[in-house]
Amino acid sequence: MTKIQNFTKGIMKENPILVSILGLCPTLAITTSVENALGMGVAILFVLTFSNLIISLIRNIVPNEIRIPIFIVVIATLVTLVDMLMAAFLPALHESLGIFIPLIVVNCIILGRAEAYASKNKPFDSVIDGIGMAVGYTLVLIVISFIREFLASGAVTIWGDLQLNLNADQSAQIFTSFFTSPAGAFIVLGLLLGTVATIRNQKKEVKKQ
Amino acid sequence: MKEMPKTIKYSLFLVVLGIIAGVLLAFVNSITAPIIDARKEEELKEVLEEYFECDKFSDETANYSLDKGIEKIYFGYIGNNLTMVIYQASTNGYAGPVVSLVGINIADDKLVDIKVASADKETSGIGSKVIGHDFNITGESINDYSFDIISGATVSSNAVKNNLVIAINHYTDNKALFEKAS
Amino acid sequence: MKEILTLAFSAILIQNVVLSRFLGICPFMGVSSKRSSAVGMGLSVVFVITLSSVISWILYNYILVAFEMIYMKTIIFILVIASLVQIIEMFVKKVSPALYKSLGIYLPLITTNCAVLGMATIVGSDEYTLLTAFVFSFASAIGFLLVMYIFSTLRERIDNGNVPRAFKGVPIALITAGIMAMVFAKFAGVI
Repeated sequence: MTKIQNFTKGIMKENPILVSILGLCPTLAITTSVENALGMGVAILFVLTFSNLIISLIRNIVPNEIRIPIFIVVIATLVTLVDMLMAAFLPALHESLGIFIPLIVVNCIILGRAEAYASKNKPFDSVIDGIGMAVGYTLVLIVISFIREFLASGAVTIWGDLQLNLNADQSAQIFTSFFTSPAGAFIVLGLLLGTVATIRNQKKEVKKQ
Repeated sequence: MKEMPKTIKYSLFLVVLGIIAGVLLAFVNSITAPIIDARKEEELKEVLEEYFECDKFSDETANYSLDKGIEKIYFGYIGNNLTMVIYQASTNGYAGPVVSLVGINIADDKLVDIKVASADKETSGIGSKVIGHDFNITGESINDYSFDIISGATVSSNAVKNNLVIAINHYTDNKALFEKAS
Repeated sequence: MKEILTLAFSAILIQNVVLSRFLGICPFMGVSSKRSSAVGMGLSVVFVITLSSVISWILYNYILVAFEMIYMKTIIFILVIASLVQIIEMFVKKVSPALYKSLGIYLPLITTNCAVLGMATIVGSDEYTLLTAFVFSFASAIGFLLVMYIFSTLRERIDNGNVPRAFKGVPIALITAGIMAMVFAKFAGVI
């Protein structure tokens, strides 16, 4: 496939959340604000890109039997780096993403791409794959956060004080904090995945005809 | 080196990788840790300097064994000198926990102040009177003080008094350690 | 004693590891379609979470703190977990080949179960004593088992019902989980 296709597959055809249904834990937990989604997206972009790069670079010297522990150590080191840097320079974000920063280590997307792609492809392609997947993941996180945060309060926090507010006087009755609760998370994601599957099925029907 | 048994070769690989990771992280940690610690100190100061006049505070909770009811132990410094011990103590009041900050001066064993940090389950307008109330104990000795119960808010006031008692007891038991540290 | 019971109760029902903390979603979605594999997975996870959390606590408080290497905790914890899962895999294969087969790839995937690393990270700190670390991790894992079991009984019914094709599988499971989360949220008022 071309370099462009390699990049866009992470956004559409092989989108980690919508298609492969991976990495659900943080998807449900942190999508309470667009700011969180962006923050997590940046963290995942960093880890996924560098882990794909490093694993691709060492793919020929890693003994096959111990490749999983090796991948885990590489990923865990990168995640610890992100954790430390965020704690020092982006403390508010570090606080709201909380335990899900170290949990990036066990995010199936990162280990999944390492195993499925980076360990079998050249460094530059692996980097593109990583960036594409991270972008696809982040876009879905932003969409879900936008829906949840907007329906919860009528306002959307994009970064720090940058806000989009349609409910400044707190008067509209249709906004409810249900959407930022755990139950709301499950239901929004369930409806989103169902809707996406419906669209994809319809496309398949059209293709058949 | 030629035919090393696989287990040794693999373990070596992992160990080398671990060392590289450790060195890299130690390096980044040396840069980020001071920044994080400085910020934590700032945040602590912002909370405590509202009630206690010190230049610096440190969280000493992990360094001492805590009695029941004691949530946190802080040190208050004037300049670089350890001047007071501040306790965060919690007792059950009328409908929920009443958390107070108790400051005790190390040099003369006198009470600096007691302030209620949180009591949100207490009855509004009645028990809640303990929040922000000046119990007038500044300068009194820990062995001989008078604590005035707010009339009509007996249960909540008693919870605050109990916080004071818990703090004084812990202080008395550990005084030698505090004096050594100052 | 009362504090221990309160801790256990809140870990199982109020701050339920799946429905409230969002940990362990992947196996929750992946293995819960049959009751027997859900229980088998749940029990394995109870074992791994409890043991790895306690080991993590010990390593954190006696080695990482002593050598000022707290930043290594994520790496150390995940390696402990990976090793434990290897051991469990060999154990299950020997003791119950049928369970080993039915769990399939989900057994080694316990390593990437965010509930395991999540609990180890929460508990492997100086905010817990050895006893509360054990109680909290064990109780949380029981909460996972409980939810897995309930969910598997629900899913067996749902899969037989009239679900629109696009919603079959994960989407309807998520919506069901959402309703379960609403129920569990009500436990918060009990204590």
